[in-house]
Amino acid sequence: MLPFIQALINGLLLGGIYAAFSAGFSLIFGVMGVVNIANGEMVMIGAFITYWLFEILKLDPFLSLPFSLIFLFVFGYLLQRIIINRVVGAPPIMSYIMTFGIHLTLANLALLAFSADPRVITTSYSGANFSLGGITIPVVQLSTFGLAFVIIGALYVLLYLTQIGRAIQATAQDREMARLMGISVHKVYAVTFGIGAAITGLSGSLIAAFRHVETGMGLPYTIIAFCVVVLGGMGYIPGALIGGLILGVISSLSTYWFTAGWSTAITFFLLYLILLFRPQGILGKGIVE
Amino acid sequence: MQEILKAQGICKNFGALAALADVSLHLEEGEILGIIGPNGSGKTTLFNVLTGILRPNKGEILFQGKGISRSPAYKICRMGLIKTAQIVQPFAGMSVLDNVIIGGLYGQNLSLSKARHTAHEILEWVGLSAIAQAPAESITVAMRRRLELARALATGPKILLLDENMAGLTPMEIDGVLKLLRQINGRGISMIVVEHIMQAVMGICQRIVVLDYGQKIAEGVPEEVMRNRQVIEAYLGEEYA
Amino acid sequence: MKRYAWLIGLLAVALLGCLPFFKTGYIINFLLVVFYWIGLTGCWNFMSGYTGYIDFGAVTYVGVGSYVAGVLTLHAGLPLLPAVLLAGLATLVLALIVGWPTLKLRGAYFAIATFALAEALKQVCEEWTSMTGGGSGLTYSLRLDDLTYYWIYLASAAGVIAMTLFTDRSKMGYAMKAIHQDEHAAARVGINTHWIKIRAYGQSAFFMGLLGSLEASRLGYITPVDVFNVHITIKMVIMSLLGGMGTVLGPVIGASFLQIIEEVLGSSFLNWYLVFIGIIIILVIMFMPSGISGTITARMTRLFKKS
Repeated sequence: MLPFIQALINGLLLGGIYAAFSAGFSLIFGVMGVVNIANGEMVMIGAFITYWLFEILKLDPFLSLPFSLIFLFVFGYLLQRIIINRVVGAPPIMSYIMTFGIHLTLANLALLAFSADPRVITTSYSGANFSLGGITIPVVQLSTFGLAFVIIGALYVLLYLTQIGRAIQATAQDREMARLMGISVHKVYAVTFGIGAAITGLSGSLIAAFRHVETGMGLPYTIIAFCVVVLGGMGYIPGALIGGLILGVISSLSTYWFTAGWSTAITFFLLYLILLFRPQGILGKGIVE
Repeated sequence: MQEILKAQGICKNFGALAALADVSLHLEEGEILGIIGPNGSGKTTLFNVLTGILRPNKGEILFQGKGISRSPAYKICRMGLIKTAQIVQPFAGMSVLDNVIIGGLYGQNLSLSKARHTAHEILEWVGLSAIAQAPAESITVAMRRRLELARALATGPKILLLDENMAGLTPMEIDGVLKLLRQINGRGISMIVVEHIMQAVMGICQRIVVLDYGQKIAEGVPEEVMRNRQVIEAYLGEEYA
Repeated sequence: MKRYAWLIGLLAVALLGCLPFFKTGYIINFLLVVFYWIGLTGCWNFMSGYTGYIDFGAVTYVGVGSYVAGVLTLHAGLPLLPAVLLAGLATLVLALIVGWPTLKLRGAYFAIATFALAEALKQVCEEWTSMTGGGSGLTYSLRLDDLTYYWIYLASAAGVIAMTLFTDRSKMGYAMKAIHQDEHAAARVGINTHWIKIRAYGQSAFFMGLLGSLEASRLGYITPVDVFNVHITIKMVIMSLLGGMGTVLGPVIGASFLQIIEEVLGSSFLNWYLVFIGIIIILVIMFMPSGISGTITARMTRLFKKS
């Protein structure tokens, strides 16, 4: 019984992280209709920022978060303004291919600059964990789990309780109407992308605290983000949380019952079936074209 | 006269909104039926239900005695029932001629050469021969309306549903379309016409059905319907053109 | 102009067919690969370029074809060509089964669903060790002559392009283009859109299965990661995009162009090559969304109109 519960807890912890880097992905799709295949690269950039700050300045990973946040916000803002803006409103294929081009460029530039070697951050508390009734819970992962909730909560607050959030929602619902109301749609899109990139980068920084950091880490994370967001509902932020937790648990339990390989196969089959029979996601709140 | 189309008790809901509530009507063979009503009264929804684009929540539709409320749109087209869209969008990336050819290819299951031949004939008829090779997206709105009509005609319909085909046209253009519609009707094609333009409705419709908030509120010959109290109330503020 | 297209194409194929009698070695091997990618891209373009249903899981059929033929030759002792044909049939059947429900999805969902399926099948091949050898891979026991591959791939490329040309001007071509433009309107004018999509999907998959299994036999050794690799799909997409999606010659232009670049840059500068590709993609989407063929066609149309 105990190993099962351990697998379950591991899954939940994993799920929180999944949710963190999927929320930005969902936001960008929900507001702009852009599928950001370079999402994983933002995780990677955030992770590397944290790594380099730790290596060079001995800055604690958790203290590097603001730097990640700001850097990626600006990066995302500019990326959208200069490049991605061209494909908003174009057929969706254009945005996948465009963001795929961005993914290729970023991933390979990083590879050339930093090599494929995996890096690890080891702090004084890296291996620490505590036991709760026989279940081992790593400290770093628990903190990251908690922070993931904080991030999503903050995003929710931003979208629903601030003026800029309302502008974003208005633009998401009806671009022309928002424009008529005096909202600068260009700015909204750029800010939204910036926010999405910032959150994703933030989660990358958190991940760097307990996982390998490598230049090729982007694509697998993007794929997971897809799964999470489809499960939880495309464009529905709280869905990223639900989808993340569910996926984390399924992933963990499948690995526990079968093997890691079958776990991956099951995850993808599940994704396929959900798209076939319930594309609006588990809660039915996703955007369906 | 034979009844060619019959809709009975059609209900269509969008969530909590009842777009159509218990609408029944029939169309006689060779007849031109008009449907009028204020904006939002459900006219386009009705057309979408009749042509299989939407499925009714309740009710039955009989086309030449055959039930079609469960049939897919493409089958209904091949059977001989087609509508023109309110917002006209021809197939871009193709010529005007190609657009009409498609109608013949699949609507009537013609070979490519026969469909081409038919398309030329129809373009001649509706007066678009001159621009047959022009890219469909480059023509004016008035011409697009004719193209929409031509494409529909190419499918060899027995019943033609026209959804506000004359909106935004000048009185002279309207007269031209009315003349064309009479010719089409003359070839034995029954029609249901949705229009806001009274000149058009009174001009060619033999009977009129009035919808308001998804319900049928009147039916009869144009003169009668126009004098109907409920109809006048529904249109309060609208001028008789 | 259009009538001469057939003649020019035939001439080009004949010339290329005679090439091995004058040159051997490097150029033949290089062209062989180019023809392979023209064929594969042509298949992807036939379905996704024309109907607009972007298939991100196309590699499924390359992979399935590779494994079916491999298993048939290895475990059932079949000779190569029958195995390849059966592999093609298997992928056709799979495509029809998969296509029927999946083609009811639109846009992003169709793309993701097909991708998910490809990944899932990759994993299945990884785990099903008894049949496929799992991660350690499968070795082909049979192979053709190098020169034979050259001619087979040339013929396949020519065949796929010819099929595309023929379909482009046929009844089905009209239907596919209509579906791409406005699927609802296409249904309204009597097109059975679901069936057209399935048919295009199946046709495309069949040839991908054939090509995939042939290439697998040529390489001699396959692993799930190799033959179900998303980068194969990506290459097909990029080549199609560069050359012009939904055009007949697009795959020829795109595949040739990209393979030449890959050949020049790829071996020593793989990562720079990928960065370059990434930037090219971004620029193409920004400035030439209809690809090279599409842009040229548009320019030429304007030119002819003026005269």
